[in-house]
Amino acid sequence: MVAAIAKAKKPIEEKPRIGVFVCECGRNIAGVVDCNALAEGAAKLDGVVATKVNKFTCADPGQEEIKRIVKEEKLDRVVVAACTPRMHEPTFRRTTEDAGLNQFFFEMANIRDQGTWCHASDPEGCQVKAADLIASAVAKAHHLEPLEVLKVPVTHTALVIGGGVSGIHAALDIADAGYKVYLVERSPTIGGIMALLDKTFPTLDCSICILGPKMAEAARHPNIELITNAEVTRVEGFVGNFKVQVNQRPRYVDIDKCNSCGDCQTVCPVLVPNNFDANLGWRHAIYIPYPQAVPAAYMIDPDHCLGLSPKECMMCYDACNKAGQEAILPDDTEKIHEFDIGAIIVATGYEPYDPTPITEYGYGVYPNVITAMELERLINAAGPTEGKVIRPSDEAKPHSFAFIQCVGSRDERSNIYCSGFCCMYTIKNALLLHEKYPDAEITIYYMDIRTNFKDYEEFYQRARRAGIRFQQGRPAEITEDPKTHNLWVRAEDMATGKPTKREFEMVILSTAAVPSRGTEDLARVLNVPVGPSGFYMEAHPKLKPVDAATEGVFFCGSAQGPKDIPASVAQGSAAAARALRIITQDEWEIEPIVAVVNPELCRSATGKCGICVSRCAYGAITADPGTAAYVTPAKCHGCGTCVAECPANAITQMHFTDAQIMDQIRALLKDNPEDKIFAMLCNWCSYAGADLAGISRYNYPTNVRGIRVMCSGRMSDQFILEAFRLGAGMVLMSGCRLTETGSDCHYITGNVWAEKRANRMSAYLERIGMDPRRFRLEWVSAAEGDKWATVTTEMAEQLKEMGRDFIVEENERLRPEIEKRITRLTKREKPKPKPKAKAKTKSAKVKA
Amino acid sequence: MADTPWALYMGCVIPNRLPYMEVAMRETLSYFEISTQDISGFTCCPNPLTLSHIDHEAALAISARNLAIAEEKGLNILTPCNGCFEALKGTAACLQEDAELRAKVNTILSKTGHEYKGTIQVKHFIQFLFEDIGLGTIAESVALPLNDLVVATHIGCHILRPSNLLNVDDAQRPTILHQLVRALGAKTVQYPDEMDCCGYGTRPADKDMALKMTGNKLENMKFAGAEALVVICPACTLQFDLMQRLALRDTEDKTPLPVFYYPELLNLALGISPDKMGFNLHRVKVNPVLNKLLPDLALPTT
Amino acid sequence: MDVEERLEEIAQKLAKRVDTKSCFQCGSCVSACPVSRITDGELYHPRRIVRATLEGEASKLLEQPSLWLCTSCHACLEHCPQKVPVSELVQDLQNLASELGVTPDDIVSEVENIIATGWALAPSESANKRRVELGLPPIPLEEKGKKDLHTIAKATELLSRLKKIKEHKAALKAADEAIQEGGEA
Repeated sequence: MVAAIAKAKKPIEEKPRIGVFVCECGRNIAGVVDCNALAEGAAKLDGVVATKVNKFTCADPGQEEIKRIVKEEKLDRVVVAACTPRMHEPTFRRTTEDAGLNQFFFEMANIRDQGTWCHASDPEGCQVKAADLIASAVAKAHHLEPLEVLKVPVTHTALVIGGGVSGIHAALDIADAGYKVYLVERSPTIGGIMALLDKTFPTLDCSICILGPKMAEAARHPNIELITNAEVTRVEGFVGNFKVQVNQRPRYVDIDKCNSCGDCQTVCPVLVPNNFDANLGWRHAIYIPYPQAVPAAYMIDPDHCLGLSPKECMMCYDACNKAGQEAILPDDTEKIHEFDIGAIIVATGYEPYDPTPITEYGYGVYPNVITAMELERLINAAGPTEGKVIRPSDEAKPHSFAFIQCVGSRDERSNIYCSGFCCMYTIKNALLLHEKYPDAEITIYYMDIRTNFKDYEEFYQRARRAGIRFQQGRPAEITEDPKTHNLWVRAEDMATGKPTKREFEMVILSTAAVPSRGTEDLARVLNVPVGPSGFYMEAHPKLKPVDAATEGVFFCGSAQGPKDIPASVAQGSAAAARALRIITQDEWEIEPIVAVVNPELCRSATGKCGICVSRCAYGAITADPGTAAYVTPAKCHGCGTCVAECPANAITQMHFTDAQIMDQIRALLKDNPEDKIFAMLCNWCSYAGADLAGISRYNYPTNVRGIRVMCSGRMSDQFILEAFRLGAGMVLMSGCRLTETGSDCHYITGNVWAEKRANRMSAYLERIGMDPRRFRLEWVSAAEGDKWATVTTEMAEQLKEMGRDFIVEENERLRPEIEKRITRLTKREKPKPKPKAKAKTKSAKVKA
Repeated sequence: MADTPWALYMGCVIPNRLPYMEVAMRETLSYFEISTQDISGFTCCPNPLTLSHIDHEAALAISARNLAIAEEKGLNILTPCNGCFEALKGTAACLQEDAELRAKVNTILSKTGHEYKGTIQVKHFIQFLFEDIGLGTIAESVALPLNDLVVATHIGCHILRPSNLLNVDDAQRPTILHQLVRALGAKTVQYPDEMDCCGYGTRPADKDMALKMTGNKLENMKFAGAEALVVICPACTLQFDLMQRLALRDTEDKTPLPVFYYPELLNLALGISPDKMGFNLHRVKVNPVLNKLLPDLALPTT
Repeated sequence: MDVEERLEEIAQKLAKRVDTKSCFQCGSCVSACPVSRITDGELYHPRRIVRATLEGEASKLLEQPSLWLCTSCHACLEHCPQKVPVSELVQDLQNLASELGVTPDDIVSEVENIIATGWALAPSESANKRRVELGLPPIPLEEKGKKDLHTIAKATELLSRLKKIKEHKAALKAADEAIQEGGEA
């Protein structure tokens, strides 16, 4: 793959033949600037052999023009000066390809969204800016290379990690489409949390009744291989080509021979709390989690069994053999599976929050304060009390219930997010209790009631009409009457503004949903990020809600954030569809805007470095000491952070090389650099934000001369210093937002390194005596067009305040120092290998 | 700063109005052979219920000055009063975290010739007993177990909150005082609204309301079966002991509830003679309890 | 700028403190507040105080004597799920109210005592005598301490506020007397 990129390099001696097409875009561009003058100016640029002005370049006639002129003038590069590349770069790349050229021989100058649309009040200034932007595009065009899109083969199988309702649906969709799925589940049965619930909202239908058939279907589907008691421990490779290792713990029971008769557990002498019953009931050391478990087989819990090695009790073994099944395998061992996988879906769900740390509510101290999950198991006919809701303190029937909402949610002291489904599950539980105990008094203490989705508001109304009390006001404390173990709940009744105190026989805490145990470990195995609340972070919150940033990995269900059953099922199908996009194909395309290491310059080749490895958020680089660093193209997402961070300048980014960018800078700052603000904008946020400023027609001064890179991580020191060396008035570095609570960076951590670099640069510039206003780092998101306009306006005003003379003088004074530093930074030399003298002498002696 | 010696910071109320609390504390320190120093230079902490309400910045500076006085002599601070603890430890914690605030406070302090560098520890005496002496040592040292005396504890507000600054115990369900009392062989009860304030801070605005808050607490303690109340703060002592009769004015059950400062009970349990303690200075007669613990004393109960 | 305007400006600034803005009016503070409970939510209501501050109406709260009912127990701050420092906000408002001179007499006299003697309770002869009887050292008189406290009071707003309080109370007293005399006449 790398060879394919390198081989396609064109010899530099041949001069390019560049065509510049200036678009009028109706009156959008032509209404402010003189397009003919721009074309004339472009014709004078080095390498430009043809120019044309078009009314609407993107329309068919415009595209035909480009193709015609490419042929007639034997062009080998195309530059279009028009709208933003975020709009039409794909369009014109196709045109370029249709014209017979490699699609990457195309570059755009944004003279509309970042030109005429925001500088209508200064047409003269806009004219100069547009000419500069065209010159910049032409300068880059000189260095463009004919990149080939990478194609990798695809394994036609999928892996689903987690067998809850979301994972089961994802697996079934893929299996029904005709593809093989491995469904790996950590516990002995699939079904997840939904299998433990009694009834589900808003329909009040029985949870296991609707899930059970799906569980059975997943188990017997010919395309699904179910692996329970197992965890994914290693994942290598990249999209379409994952190699996955799954460690399966021994069950000690043969699934095919076990018929769930239960003779084994009848004789088992060990009793332990059953965590499938929220630890309210007992199970034996050999057990089945619940009657509807899938696989429908027992298992032995090796931590509590009296002994399998050496064999101690063996009562279950004898009972099973007597019954004729011979299903127990005392010598069962761990199995390690290895699979080739095309796409991975993570559906590991959530677990309920343990409210013990919220000591003011007395969970774990007052026996009659229980959690919502505990209530589910009590009220469930298959649960430890066969459906009777009784008080733990005296096993009596309660006559009054209080529900406390948001326990561990929306709380700065535990979890700040809203868990989303607790309002609904509480209303459901309240209705179920009301059904069972019509005379009981039920009060729900809440901060807000969130019943957002289809039929949910009606459900809330149903509860109010059933006489369930809703009191707004978060209780500060629950105290207990030590004699009766009744509870007093204190809360302000916000409807009246008065503090209230009410006695209840039982209190149920609506606990938060937290990420499943092991989420962080699995995230590391998969090399995917988790968000600030610990749930997996999706690639884009609106447009890619089930994609991981890493290609080929998808999230669904509560693993990505707490959600109810309909949303979990929908996301399961969504993830399946995204996965099928990949595994139904024989080949998968990967954009060639990747980083490439020059092994001759790499320090790791002759010693130890590894800086690039630590900068890469995708684990795409390996650099064993003594071996040159290598970027796996299919794993590289093209942020360019490693390129900017490499101390030896040994890494290049295809289509965003140093040579290309440096020449862009030189073109932009050729004339009157002191009046200009050189800006670097990241593709996903800042460039989009600047475009938005234009779309919204925010006017700002024409001083800005911007270049586009994929990520702020790419914005190297060299670019900043070169800009100052050339005399730029100011330099602006702009990327995706980085705040205390998180990063919006499209490449996860590119802006983190950008910020560190910017801080070092600020310190350096201060040291050498530059006015601190001249260099700035700003976070501008794609939605912040107004911020872009405000920042650039402010900077232009400061520039004016400082005055040209001041800038010129400072430039003169600082240039020698900056030149020294930039010479050092841009050096590219072979690292000196470490001496290996001793070994040679030895072998020489032997030979003699 | 584990081996740094302690300076005793007694505050205003204990030395002036409740000297028996000071006596008890010094007896305990002497029993466990803890050496401390009495230094000069301290002023009011200042009272977190009054001065900070007029000027918060001045309060910080005055607290910081007290901290600096100890720091200059290379000492940590040990205090028996909740209010002083909140003022001193709260300030120390704030200034430790926030360098900008520390600089600001030191600018004010510089006019007095002091500077607080942020290096000393501040502990409440009860915290010291729990953390440095320890339940094990205390339990082992008990010579006279307290005969299953049924005790209500009132740990107070300013040793616990704000918990992010003071960091002594779980602020919602504190247990150290319960554990310290039980280590003496007494029983502690759970009573309603245990975490409520005694009301002392409301006195300047409305004395009657303050007393009502105190009265409510006393009622709850007696409802739970308490024979005695244990406190660890002089302000709470003023409310519960000195003003108990007034506090019970509007309640039905006017049975007096004897109030002890924890080290007093500790000293009794250690076998130290009640003569050394100043029990006669309590407003509510503690004789019924003393008679229960030391039947030979046969003190008059009227 | 007159006192009222300055107070309004400071009150507006208080409303902008990031931590206070997190308040989503859940009522935990009221539920925890012993004063709120004992007054049935009528006289003292921390949630409404936070709300008023955020709405920029803190200046209306400053004149109210009920602002001083707060017992400074910090239960509100401790129970708040958004970490709003409610009791500190109330104290900030009390500081501002002191600018207006509306501070309870008992607090004023204690603070004056602290600056004058170094202690909230000045060491008295009888107190010292009792101490000696109990075998305790007498309470030290801190001359440097007194001076330092005065310096600090002057370097901060404390001294000026005490002065304003005195002036305000004197003016009130004079007004009361004038009304009395007018009534009697």
